[in-house]
Amino acid sequence: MSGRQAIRGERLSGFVLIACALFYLYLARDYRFDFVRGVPGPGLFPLILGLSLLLLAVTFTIRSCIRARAEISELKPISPIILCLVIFYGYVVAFPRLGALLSTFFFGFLTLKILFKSAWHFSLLYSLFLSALFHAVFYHFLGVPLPWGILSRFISG
Amino acid sequence: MAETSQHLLSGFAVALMPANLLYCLIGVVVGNVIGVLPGLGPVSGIALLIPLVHGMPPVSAVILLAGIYYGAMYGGSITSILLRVPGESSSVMTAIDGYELARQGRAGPALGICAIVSWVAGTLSVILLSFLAPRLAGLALSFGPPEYFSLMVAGLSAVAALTAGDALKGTISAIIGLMLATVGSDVLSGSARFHFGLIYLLDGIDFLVVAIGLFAITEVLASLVDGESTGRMVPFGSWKNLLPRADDLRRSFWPCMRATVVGFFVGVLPGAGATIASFLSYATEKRISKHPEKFGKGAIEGVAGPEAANNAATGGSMVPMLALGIPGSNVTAVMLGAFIMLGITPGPMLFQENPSFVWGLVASMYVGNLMLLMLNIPLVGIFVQVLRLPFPVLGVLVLELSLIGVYAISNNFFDLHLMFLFGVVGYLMKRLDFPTPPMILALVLGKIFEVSFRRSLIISEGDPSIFVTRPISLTLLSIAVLVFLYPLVLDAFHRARSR
Repeated sequence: MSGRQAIRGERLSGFVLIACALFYLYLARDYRFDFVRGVPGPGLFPLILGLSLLLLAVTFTIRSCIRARAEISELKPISPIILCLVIFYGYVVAFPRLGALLSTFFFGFLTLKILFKSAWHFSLLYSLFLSALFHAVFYHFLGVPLPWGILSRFISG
Repeated sequence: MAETSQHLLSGFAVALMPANLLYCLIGVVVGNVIGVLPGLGPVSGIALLIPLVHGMPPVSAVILLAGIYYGAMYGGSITSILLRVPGESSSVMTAIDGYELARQGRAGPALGICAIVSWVAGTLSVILLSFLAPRLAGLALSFGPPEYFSLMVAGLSAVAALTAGDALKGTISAIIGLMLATVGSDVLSGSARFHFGLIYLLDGIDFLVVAIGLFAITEVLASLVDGESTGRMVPFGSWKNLLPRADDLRRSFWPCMRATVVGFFVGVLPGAGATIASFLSYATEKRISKHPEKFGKGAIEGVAGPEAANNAATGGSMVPMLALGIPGSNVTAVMLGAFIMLGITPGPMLFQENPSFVWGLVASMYVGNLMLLMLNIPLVGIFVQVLRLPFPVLGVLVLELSLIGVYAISNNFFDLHLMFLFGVVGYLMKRLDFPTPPMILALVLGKIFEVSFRRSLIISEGDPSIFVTRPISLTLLSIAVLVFLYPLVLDAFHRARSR
């Protein structure tokens, strides 16, 4: 990607930061920031933080507008990232539903097969190995109550 | 002095009993394993094992728990260096240069330096603990809310201004970290803030959820686009390259010494001692280095300093707990619970009433640090084998370990979504050159930072001049200002010189 797009990215992040600061200040208005019986309200610190971020974000945006193009690093292609994020978010969502054992296996298998184009037998065996290993270490050895998900009916039955 | 030496000798007699040596070894090994796993740090490790030590002789039980403490501190550094997955907030700084060294095929020297400086700093801090504990306990008490606030301002300023190439971006990152720390119940008033109606957010955001998202997930994503998806995540050096060279040891010596002093004295102060110590040490080493541009790109000093500091802080944090009965960190709070369960009441009288217990524990820390070194130096070769794995194998391992590790923190599914979100945020920050360490440090310190600020205002009845009218606070704030101005002054000096 070109340097111009990178500059746009930095400038855009400045505007996002300004929006974040304003949103934070908007939420912070719900909390008292004055002193009640000598105690500063729960909104005082957030108010200071929100104003500080706003000030810094405005400075950052102005600086990114006047900064030389060459100073900013270039952006990189993001298609493998999006694919990885989609599969990983699927894992996050499936974890409580399918359970740790199954979701870990499916995540490993899909990532290796689709994202890394690994051989199917390697993907299968490695995913099985990791799923079993994590279950043994976290569930049996360390006592972490990993979810069983749809397998729970078989476990309890 | 003579009396302390005599007590220490009797402590060694207790610590070197075969049964206690065995407990120390078990503690160190279990701690190492626990530290390697994200989501399980020394706090959960000690908490998990407290029921098992019930009924054991108090000295043996505490030797076992202390072994877990410093074993886990070192274990957290292993994954920081190899996988960029910090197990603890105090190993966040180690991940920066440690992982870069691993990428250059120098994971072995980084791990070796880690083990050596941990041993040196741990041992020196125990020596300081032996001789200074009763006196330093008083110093910890002289720190009130304004001093704590100023200490944290100094720590955050140092990290924001010096760990990033760009002080403005570093400061923005720190402010966002402080904002994240305001999520959840307010400690002073009890009111729930910024929780968007979600009960999961009432307890706030766990730093480890954010750290794993910002470091581990981001690293896998970055490796995907950096064309490493077909090769190794990081190159593996030759077997000759496994141990630190003489030059590495020479370059690490003074950072280790400085960090030991910083770590011990910061560790004495109740609060997030080891974390602030490691951040301060990194910032100090970068500031005084002749080659600050090498920091963040694989400087061995960037590993030696923070590692020594966080291990020295371990010894320091024992001071207020043993001498005053005040736990300075989450870990010592859990240990205090164990002490009470075992019938030991820490406090000013402990040194007089139960010397064999105190000095046995102190002596076991010398022994435990030596065990940690002897255990980890030979294991460096095995740890480094992890890096020979192809990227797909390692990438899947890191992502699955991160997710299950985050779940293990509080068994909460919502944390998984947060980790995912911070993984995306971390990737964007990396691409836009925003530093992530200031955000993590600010998140870790945020609650204490705000409470110190508001308590100071309560003491002064709303007058903010309290921060500049108390000598220690004023000194710390002056340091913060100097640290911030330093890069600007240096820049102006270089420009004037080049003209």
